[in-house]
Amino acid sequence: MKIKPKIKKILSHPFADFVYIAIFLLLILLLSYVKVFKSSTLIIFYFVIMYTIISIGLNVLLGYSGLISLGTAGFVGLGAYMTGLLMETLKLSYITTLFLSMIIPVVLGIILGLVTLRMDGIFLAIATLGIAEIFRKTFEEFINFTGGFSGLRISRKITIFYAVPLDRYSKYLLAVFILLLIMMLIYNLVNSKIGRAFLTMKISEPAARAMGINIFKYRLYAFALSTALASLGGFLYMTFLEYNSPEPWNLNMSLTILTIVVIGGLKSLRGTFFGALIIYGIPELILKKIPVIGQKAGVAYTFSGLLIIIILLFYPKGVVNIPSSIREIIKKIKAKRNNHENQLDQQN
Amino acid sequence: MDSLIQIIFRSIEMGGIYSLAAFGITLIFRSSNMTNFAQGSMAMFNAYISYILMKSLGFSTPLAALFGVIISLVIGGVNYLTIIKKAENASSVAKQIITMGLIILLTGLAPIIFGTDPVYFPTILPNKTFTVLGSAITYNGLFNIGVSVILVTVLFLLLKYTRFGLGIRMTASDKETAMLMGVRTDMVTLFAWAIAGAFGLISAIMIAPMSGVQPNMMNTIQIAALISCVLGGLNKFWGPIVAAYIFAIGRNVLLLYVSSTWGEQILYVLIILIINLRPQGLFGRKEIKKV
Repeated sequence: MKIKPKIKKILSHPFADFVYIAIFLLLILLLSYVKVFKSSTLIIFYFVIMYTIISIGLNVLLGYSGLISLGTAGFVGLGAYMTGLLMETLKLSYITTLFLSMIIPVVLGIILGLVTLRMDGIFLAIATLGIAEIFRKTFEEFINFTGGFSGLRISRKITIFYAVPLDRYSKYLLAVFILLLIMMLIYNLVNSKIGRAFLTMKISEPAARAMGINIFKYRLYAFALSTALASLGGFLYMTFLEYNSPEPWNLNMSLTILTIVVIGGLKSLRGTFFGALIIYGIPELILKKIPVIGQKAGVAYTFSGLLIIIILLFYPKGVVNIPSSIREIIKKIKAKRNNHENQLDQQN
Repeated sequence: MDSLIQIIFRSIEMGGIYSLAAFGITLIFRSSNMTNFAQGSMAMFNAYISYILMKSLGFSTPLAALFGVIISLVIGGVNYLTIIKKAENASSVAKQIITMGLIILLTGLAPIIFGTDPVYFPTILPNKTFTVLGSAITYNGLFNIGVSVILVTVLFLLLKYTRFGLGIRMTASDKETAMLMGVRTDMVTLFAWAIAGAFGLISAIMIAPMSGVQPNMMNTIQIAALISCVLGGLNKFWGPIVAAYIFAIGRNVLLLYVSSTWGEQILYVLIILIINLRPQGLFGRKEIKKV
């Protein structure tokens, strides 16, 4: 008798959604471990996890604080190069690299934030675009560190705790736990004093100021957080592929991340996961397998471009709100029918 | 080794190309209060169409360019009517994200429709040179400079002396008041989008002989134009144009005389610092935020 409300309580806990997502991702791992799925499926889902983490960072910036950044890809690339350098040249361990490859970009992000975050709107967007260009150029030209166009490779075996070697499956497992942890941390953060300050700042700057919120400080927080998650994404990219080149870190990647956030739903963490699944997963898993058009070069971009325009024009709440919208529609229909019946009763 | 005259000449040519793209962005920003990030991608798409005209109908380059301009006027207008106008009630961030969606859509569609091989687009004037003070200068480069200066001048005269220009300026400074005064702001915005589309295409045709027609041919121009807009300040029409020339000259000088690897990065850092000191842009007026 008493168990039922308890289960209900657990199921309605805000973390429950995140645990479902983690269980779903672990199920994929299990199925590809027993070779039901091809190993390419596992790789696709690994990248979905990576994109989710990066996009959660942008969601904090765009969804919660209302700041638009086009420089995300630059910071992801920076995180990836940092990981490569720390592991390959300095021979640091996995855990140390994980922290250092986040701390260094965050410090750099804060310095850049100090000069760019006084702007807002399109000015910030274009300034971050400039920053991403600086990064991309540096990746291409700073050959001593980045290897230029020939790329940077981690040649030694990646191990954790100095002895346990990591293969694809264990890296995937680690990534799932990192994602779960990030979702929980960010959920708590955006529901704390800082998160409320972000939201106030987004809705009305003068109001936020009047309430004693230091706009610049909180903008810097949001920017640092999104930089940290972007470079964490870079770390996951580099440790998985063990190779990095300047090509992926361009404007198109920043736009893909932006698309994920918008399509999934602003201010929603599980929405960001669905966004990543739709924007990265569907083209890779389904569209590329369609004969004739699937093999053409721009199918994935066309799909996500169309989707972002359609969603913004007709359903700006994002994919994550579709179930609740459907529920509302059903409720309305039911209410109408009840009204109708009542009227009939009254007439009789 | 390039001579100084050649470098200056090249910089002015590039500045002209950037200024056309920047003018389109300013026009749209002033009339619809949003940034069209997809200007470059739309220009790329239209450049493909001009190329197809040239290839399949056997048009000469100038004729193809002319038809391309007409088509891009139409496409610019249609884009406004079908997508941007529908999103009138969305926030300006949402509108800008829609144009970013357009970038993704067009870069995806281009290889599907036109194939993946980069195509060569010939120059409008034959590729001949003449010498000034010992340095070779192309006729086509001179033509490009001329066209961009003349176009921008004509547009300025239009803005200044015609009823249509007055309408644009009124819409730009205050849309609601303009509407109350009887300006058909819808038409003005439509024209702004059409003209911006044409300007984008002209800059694409100018760069096409150097970059080839391919999905990311306009990336550098688009970024340069956006940065010039912010650098020059978006609340004056001429600010971004002057800034575009400054950007082009600064870039070439830094790349050649300071460092070929770090020149561009130094330029961006300098620009970010300048914007930080003057958020309204070099030539802009400070706008007061109202609550």
